[in-house]
Amino acid sequence: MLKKMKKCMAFLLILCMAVTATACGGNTDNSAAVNENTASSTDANKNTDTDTNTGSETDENAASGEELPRFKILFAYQQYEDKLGGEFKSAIQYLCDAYNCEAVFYESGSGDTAVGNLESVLTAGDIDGLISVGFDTARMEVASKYNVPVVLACGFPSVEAEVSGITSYDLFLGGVTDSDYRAGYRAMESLYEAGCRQVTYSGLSAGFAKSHDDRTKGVMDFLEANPDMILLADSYTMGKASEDIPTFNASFPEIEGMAFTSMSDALYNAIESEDLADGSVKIAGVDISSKTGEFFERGIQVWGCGGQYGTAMVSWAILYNYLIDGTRIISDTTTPIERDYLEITTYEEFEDFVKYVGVSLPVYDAEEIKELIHYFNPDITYEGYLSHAENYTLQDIIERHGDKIND
Amino acid sequence: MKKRNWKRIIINTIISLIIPVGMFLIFAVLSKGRTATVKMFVTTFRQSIIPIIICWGLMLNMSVGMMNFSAGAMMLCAGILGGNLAQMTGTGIPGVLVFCLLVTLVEGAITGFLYNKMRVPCMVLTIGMMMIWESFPKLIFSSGVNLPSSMTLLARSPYCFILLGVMFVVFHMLYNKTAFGHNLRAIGNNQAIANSVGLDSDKIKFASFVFGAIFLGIAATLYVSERGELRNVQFMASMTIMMDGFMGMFLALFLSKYCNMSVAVIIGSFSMKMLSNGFVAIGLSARTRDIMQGLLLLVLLTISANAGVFERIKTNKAFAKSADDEYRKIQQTGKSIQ
Repeated sequence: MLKKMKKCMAFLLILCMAVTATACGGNTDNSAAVNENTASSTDANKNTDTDTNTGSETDENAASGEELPRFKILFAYQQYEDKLGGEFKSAIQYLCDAYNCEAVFYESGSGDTAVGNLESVLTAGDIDGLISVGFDTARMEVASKYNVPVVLACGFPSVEAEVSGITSYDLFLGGVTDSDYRAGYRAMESLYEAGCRQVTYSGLSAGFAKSHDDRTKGVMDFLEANPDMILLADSYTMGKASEDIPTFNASFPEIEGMAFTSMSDALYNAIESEDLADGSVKIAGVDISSKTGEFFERGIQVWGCGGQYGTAMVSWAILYNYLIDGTRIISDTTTPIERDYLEITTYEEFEDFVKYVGVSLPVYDAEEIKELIHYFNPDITYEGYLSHAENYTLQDIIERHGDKIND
Repeated sequence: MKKRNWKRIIINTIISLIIPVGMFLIFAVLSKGRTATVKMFVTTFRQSIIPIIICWGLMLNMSVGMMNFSAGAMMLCAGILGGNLAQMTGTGIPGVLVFCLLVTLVEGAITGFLYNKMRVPCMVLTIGMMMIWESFPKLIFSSGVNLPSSMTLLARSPYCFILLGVMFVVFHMLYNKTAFGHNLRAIGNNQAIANSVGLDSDKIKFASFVFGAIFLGIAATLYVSERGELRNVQFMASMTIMMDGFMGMFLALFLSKYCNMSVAVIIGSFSMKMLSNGFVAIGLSARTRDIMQGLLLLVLLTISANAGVFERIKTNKAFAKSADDEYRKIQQTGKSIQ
């Protein structure tokens, strides 16, 4: 009996190995850590269903000038199934299609796993550049070993030692981040302007993500600057902010406002379940969710923000500058370029956000990105990038793309 | 007929209720009455429902010395698959319930089967299964699940309480009134003796996974209804889903000496949630709350693990005293003869 069992187990193990080897052998979507999209395989993320048809515009861009060299650009993020991940993927794919590049999307993982994952992707030796959301010195060492330049997007190390470590590498080109501190500050400010003086705050566990820590800092600094606004309670969990709502509501019936480091449908559901969706409590938070519009329309939400994928597009431009002609836009790589979020304060602005910032046309089209690339625009400088960042507003996008996007 | 020892019952009831009542009173004073409201009580109880049901499911495995670390992942997988299938088939809330249950039953059966065949420690097996259940829904529904408001009613009052009541009856009957429950406890007490009297441990352990999965299926239904959306996770992030149930389980094991397990689970999970909410109400920072909760759990577990120590010391002292008295008597008798 025991012998039979052993034979069965051995057979099963061989079968598993064979299946794994077959599955990992080719370029399939189910490979361990890499989700590869070649420039030729345009998927639903590429815009083909609007009258503006940016697909044809990008074809023109690629074909109008000289043949651009082909680069393979790796984009690393935690996961692509959420809304932001989908936007990152769509925007980067769009740019790669426009500039004759091959986009490779890969789920980075965290900690030691992330280092191993990166090395397994770079081992093939065909990656020309890396854009990463989240990074550390260990991964920079790996990238440097494989001679791959790196640009960071939507995040930058907070620990000084980590910054010194990463920036000591010649192949580190710098980073572009969102102004999370300002987002946190503005969330509280908006509640204050809406008349809320007794508020609660739900954030992410401290130390897990610098972006969330910066938002919290912004929140706390605003509270310190406005002592007439009272923080009744705060909580920091790993994605369990929706459980704070009933607790806060039961403990503090006098709540006037609630701020969240990240909005989600679970939070909106909890607010409705607690009968707080009657407008008696105002809410503010980062990120857009499917119910955000409804809550703005009902006057419950007073502030929201999003549009981070535009930051990733600027990171792409910085990397492309280096790849095409060796231009380094950021000379002092210890300081990232900071860009504001796109803020929403009314339902009308939300409707504009959906229309102009949704993936029907990215916030920067291929021609606009050309202005950020030294090869096409020799006048572009670091200061130009800073000015470009300052102009990143919803109104700016409407002015640029108003005639390109039909109702 | 066995006479009920009413004195014992009253003492046990008091001991069982010391912790929740004590916590209630302490927090009522510290929070200046914030926690001593009906709203807070109802909210805390409602928040305890999912951990209670998870804990019941875990207890069926714990009773035979097995720890199921994949419970959270099973719930997540069931929630995503069940929610999506219910929407695809247009079956609404009943569909969510049925599909979540079916998925967890399959998961429980597979886990039980593998446990019996592979003969690896349950902890090792369930950690491996956790990774599988976390990854599996991603292959089919990569964006998770989003339920419309009309399909999330089960998580709201009074439906969640009705479901809790039903599951309480199910657990109580299963654990206390069925042969399966008795066999479970027999194996938990001493597997060797249980086997020698003819109990089939493999069959019973398999059944514990399957019956435990029923509770996890209900918990998954409530979990996806409460949140309205679920996303795929990785790297054992699903453990946070079962953590509340886990914490309550240790307290329940301590309290089960004084009351029925089905009630002990309710008291344990409710107490842990009351602790968490109480700390929020008195304004402790999140960091301090986590430390306090951990310390309190440690104290409770220490008391539970060493509950017999004081009695042993007392018994030993009494024995030593009687031995001394005996020795003195002997010595005195010896002197008088001389």
